[in-house]
Amino acid sequence: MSDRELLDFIQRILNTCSEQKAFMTLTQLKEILLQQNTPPYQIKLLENTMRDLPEAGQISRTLHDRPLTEEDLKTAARRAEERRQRERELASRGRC
Amino acid sequence: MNIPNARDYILLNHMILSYSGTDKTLTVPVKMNNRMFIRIGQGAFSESSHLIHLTIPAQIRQIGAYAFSKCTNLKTAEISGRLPETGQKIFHDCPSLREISFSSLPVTKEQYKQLLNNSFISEDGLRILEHFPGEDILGGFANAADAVPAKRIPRDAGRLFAVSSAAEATNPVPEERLRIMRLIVHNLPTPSSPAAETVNDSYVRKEIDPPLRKTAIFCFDDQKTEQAGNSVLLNAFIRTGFWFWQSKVRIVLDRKNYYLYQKCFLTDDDKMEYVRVDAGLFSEEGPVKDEKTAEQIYAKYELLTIL
Repeated sequence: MSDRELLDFIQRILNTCSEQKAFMTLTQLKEILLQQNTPPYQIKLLENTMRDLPEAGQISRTLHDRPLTEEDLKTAARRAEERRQRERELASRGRC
Repeated sequence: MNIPNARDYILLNHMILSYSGTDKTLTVPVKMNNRMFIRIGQGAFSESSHLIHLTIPAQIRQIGAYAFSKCTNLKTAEISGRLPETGQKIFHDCPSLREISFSSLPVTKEQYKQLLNNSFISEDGLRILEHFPGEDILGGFANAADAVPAKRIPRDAGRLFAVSSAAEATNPVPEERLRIMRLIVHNLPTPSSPAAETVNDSYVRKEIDPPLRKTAIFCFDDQKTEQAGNSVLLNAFIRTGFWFWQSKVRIVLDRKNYYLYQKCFLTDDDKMEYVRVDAGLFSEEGPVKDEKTAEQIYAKYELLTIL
């Protein structure tokens, strides 16, 4: 599967599924790709998307007709990291 | 027959990865864009809140975990052909689901042959059930559904389940007894030939997917031991029960005073396995462990190999 095809798959999944369903579908996609000896960087891309699912979905749904790119997923990763950072801070404050 | 809209599907190889349509009645497509599909991916049809009636064609050989979960309005599901290989909890959280219909048997030929030697009792299965107060899921009553008095069904028994033949489906048991769901097995096999109308009803009690309640009890009637119906339904119970509960199964053979307890679980490679936990006599006082009887039971029914 080419990178473009994979991104198209991801985009369709993100645009049509809830977070929970997208996670299951991406997991299934990953399983299939692993069986096909897909290059590790594509698997990584999938795993990152699953990790940053809320943000990736948010971005993907705002793209309208524009195809999803790796840059978009990097942006999602950045936002997800910021969110996690905020959550960590809140959690540590809560503990005090 | 509805024509699948390819835009509703995400497809890869021979698998339906995801469905996002709004069909109320759906036959899972096995051919689209000149491609064949024999597998349903995990969660593929989940959250299809429009879906009310579902048919899974015989060509589908594999259904992934949670494939139809959270289909909140799904009422009936028909499974054609042999039961496909299924992942965990394919009908998880489908609160409206009332009927799962099999167009053929969820057993292999070998299993069936062995099952023919096993029928199970319990017109008075309720007596048995009373020995399991608070037990999570209570089991099937073969034979004479009408003879099972609704008022004797323990209040805390959860939801009532029934397995019946196609004939029974056209002559349904009273609704107050069939509280929740009916499983229908069409085309029951006939080596020793029960015509559909001679096949007995059975009931299973359950609560759908209770997270902490994981026992199913099945009580069958062997009044028509030579007939296949009870045995067949037993297997349907176990299979469907397994989909829902993934857990322990107790089986009581009442008339012969046998008590049997089995545990079933998923192995790492997603296969079902059953392990004997206990067996013995079943008396008025309830189950009494008795190794000698247990051995006789297992010898006679070859239960470990059957299940």
